[in-house]
Amino acid sequence: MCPPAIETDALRKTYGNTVALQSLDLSIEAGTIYGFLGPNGAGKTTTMRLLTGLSDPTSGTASLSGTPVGDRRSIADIVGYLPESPPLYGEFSGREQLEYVVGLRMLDADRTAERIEELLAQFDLIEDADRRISGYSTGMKQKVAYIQTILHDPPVLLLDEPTAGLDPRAARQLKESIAQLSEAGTTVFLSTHILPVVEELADTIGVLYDGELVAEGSPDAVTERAEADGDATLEDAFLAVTSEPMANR
Amino acid sequence: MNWREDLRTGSMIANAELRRSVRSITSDRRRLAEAVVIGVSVLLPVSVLFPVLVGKGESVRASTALPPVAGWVTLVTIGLLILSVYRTVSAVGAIDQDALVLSTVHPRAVVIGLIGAEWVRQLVTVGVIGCVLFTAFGVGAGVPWLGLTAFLVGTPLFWWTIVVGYVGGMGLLVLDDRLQFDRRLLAVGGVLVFLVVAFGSQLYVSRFTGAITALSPETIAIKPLFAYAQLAFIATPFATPIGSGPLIVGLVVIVSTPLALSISTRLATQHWLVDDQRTTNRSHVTTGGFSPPVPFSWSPAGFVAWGALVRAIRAPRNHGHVFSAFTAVAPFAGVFTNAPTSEHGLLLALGGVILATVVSGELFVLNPIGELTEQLPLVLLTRLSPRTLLRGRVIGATTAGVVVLTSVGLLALSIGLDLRSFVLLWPVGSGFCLAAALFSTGLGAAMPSSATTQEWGTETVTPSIAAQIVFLFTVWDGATIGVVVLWLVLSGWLTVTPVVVGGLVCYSAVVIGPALASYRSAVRRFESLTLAAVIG
Repeated sequence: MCPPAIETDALRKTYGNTVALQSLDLSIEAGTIYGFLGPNGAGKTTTMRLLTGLSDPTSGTASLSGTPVGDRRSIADIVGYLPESPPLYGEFSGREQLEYVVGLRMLDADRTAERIEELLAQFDLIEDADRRISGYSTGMKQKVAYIQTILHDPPVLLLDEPTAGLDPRAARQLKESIAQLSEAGTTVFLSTHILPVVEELADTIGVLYDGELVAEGSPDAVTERAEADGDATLEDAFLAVTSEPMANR
Repeated sequence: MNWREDLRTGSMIANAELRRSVRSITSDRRRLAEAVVIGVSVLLPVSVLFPVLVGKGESVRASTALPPVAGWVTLVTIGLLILSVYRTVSAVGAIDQDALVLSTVHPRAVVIGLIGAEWVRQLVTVGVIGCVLFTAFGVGAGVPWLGLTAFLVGTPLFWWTIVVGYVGGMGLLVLDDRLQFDRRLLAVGGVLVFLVVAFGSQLYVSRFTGAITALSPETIAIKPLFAYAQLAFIATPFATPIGSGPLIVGLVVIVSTPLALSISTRLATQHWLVDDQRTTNRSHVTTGGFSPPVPFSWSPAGFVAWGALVRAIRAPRNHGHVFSAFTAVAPFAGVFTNAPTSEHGLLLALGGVILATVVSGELFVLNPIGELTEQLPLVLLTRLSPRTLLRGRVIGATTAGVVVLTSVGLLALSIGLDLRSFVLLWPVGSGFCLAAALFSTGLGAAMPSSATTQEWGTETVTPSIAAQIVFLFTVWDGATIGVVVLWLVLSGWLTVTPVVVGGLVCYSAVVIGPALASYRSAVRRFESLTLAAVIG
C-alpha cells in the first residue's frame, strides 16, 4: 500500500511562548487537492515551511510520500514549493530563471527545454521570456514562479496563495494546470484566502485556526457543518468554524 | 555523499550569484559610475605603489636576499581571514530566495556556491591587486613571472582563508541564533568594539613611539607560513632550499579546507533553518501607542522626526552606513593620545563635534527619497507637505547628532573640559549638526538609491556610495577645519582679531549657504516627486 502523500503526526511548532501550530495530524492521499484554509496568522505558512523542511518542528513528525521531511536530499525531488512571495531573481530573465532551476535540480536540460517552452506558451510568457524579471508585473512573476515549482514534476505540490496577483485569465490557466496535475496523480496542498478557488478545485478542505485544525472534510461536508438550512456557502462555513465560540467547541 | 552533485550545483549557484552581482551593477548607470569611482580610487594607490615596488625589487636584485616580509605575509593572511569573517557575517552568510534554493538543493551545494562566488569576488579585487604588486616587485628584481608563481602558491592559502573565515562568520551567526542577543545591544557592542580597536591601536602606537621597532610586523611573523609563501620565489635568485616545513603547511592548508567546508555546511544548515524568535517575541511587546513627547508633539514635523528616531532605535541595522561616522573620528584618537592630559577634555569634546556632525548628516537624510520608496504611496497621498516631511527628517537627524554631542561633551567635562568651553561648543556643534543635516538632504535627494541590499541579515536601503563619498569629502573636511579653528581659539593660540572674525564669517557663509541651498533643492525635488520617478 502506498504511504499517504502528506502525513503529519502531532506536528507542533512554538516560537518562544507563542504556539504557531498546536498538534497537527494530517493524512492526505496521493492525487488529492487539499485546500488549506485559515485566517491570517493561523499557522498555514508555518505548516508549509515545516512540510518542506525549511523549518524544524518543535515536536512531532512529517513525511511526504513516506519520506521524512528531514531527509533534505530526497525531499527536494518530492516537493515543489511555491511560497507566497515568488522566489525569483530580478537580475535574470524569465527563461534564465527557469534554466537556472533546471540546473539546480539537475534535470536533463535538453528534455526540459521543450517543457519550458510549452509552459511559457501555456502561460503566455513566450514574448517576455527573455526580459529581466525585475521588469515583470506581479502576475508574470507569479506565473514564472509557478512554472519553476512544477518543472521537475514533483509528486507533492505546496502552493501558498498561488493565484494572488493574477488576472482572471492567468488565474484560470493556473487552476487548469493544477487540476491537470492532480488528475495525473500529483498531490496539491493549496493554501489560499480566495475561497472560490478552493471550492472549485479542492477534494478535501482543512481549516486551521489559531494553530489547530478545527475542520476537515470535503467542501460539502465542511459547508454543511456551518448551517442546517442548506444555503450556506464555503465562506459562511469558514467564518463559522474560525469564530471563537465554534473554534473552542 | 553526493559530493560531485553538490560541487556541480554549487558551481551553478556561484556562477548565478556572480552574474547577478555583475548585472546589478551594469544595469544601473549610477551603480556603474560608483563602481568606476571605487575602481579608480583603488587603482590610484596601486599605480603609486607599482614603481615603488619595482624600485624595491631593483634594490634587492644584487643582494639576492629577500627583505624582511615574513610579518607582512602573516598580517595579510590574518587580514584576509578577518575580511572573510566580516563578509560572511554581513553578507555572504545569507542566501537570497532561501525558500527556492533550500527546497531545491542540499545546503552543502549552497555553501559551495556562496563561498565559490565570494572567492571569485575577492580574487578579482584583492587577488589581482596582490598579483600586480608581486609582479611589480618581480619586474624590479628581474623575475617578472613572480606574479604568476605568487598566484599559484597563494591560491590554496587564499581559498583556505575564505573557507575558514566562512566557518568563523557562520559560527558567530549560529552563536547569535542560539543566544538570541538583543540586536540593539549587538549594534552598541559592535560600535564599542570598533572604538576600542580604533582608539586602542592609536594609544598603543603613541605609547611605543620611542620603541617603534617593537611594533614591527616581523615580531608577529608565523615562520612556517612565511616558509610556505617562499615557495613563490622558487626558480628565482631568492629561492631558499625547500624543507619539510612549507610542504607540511601546504598539506595542512589543502586537507583542512574540505574539513572547514564540512563544518561550515553544518553551521550554515543550523543558521538557515533556525527560527529567529526575536521577531516573534518582540511583536508581543506593548509599546503604548505612538505618542511623541514634547517638543516633538508640537508640530507635524516633530511627529515625523520622532517616528524616524523610534524606528532607528528599534531597527538600528537599517542604518548600518552611519558606522562610517566612527571611522571619521578615528584619526582623532592619535591626536588625543599624543596631546598633554590637560588638553584631553577639549580634544574629546571637539571629536564629539565631528562625530555628531557626521551622524546628523548620515542618519535619515543622506537618502531621503530612497529610504521612503516603499512608503511613498502612503506619504505622497497624505496632507503632509514635502517641506514638513523633510523638515521632520532634518529635525530627527539633528536630534540624534545633538544627543551624541551632549553625551561626548558631558564625558569631556568629567575628564577636565572647562564649563566655558562646553557652553561655547554646544551651540556651535549643534549648528554643525543642523548644517550637515540640511546639506545631506539635498545631496541625498540628488543621488537617491532605492535598491535593497542584504546587509547584516537585513534587507536594507542604503545611501548611494557616491552620496556617501561626496558627503565625507565635504562635511567631514568642512567640520574638521571648523573644529581645528575652534581648538586654536579655545586653547588661546589664536586671538580674536578682525581678520579672524572675518575668516569665521566667511567660513560660516560657506557652511550655511550651501546647506540651505541644498535643503531647498531637496524640497523642490520632493514637490515634483512622482512614484514613477522613484520606482521607475
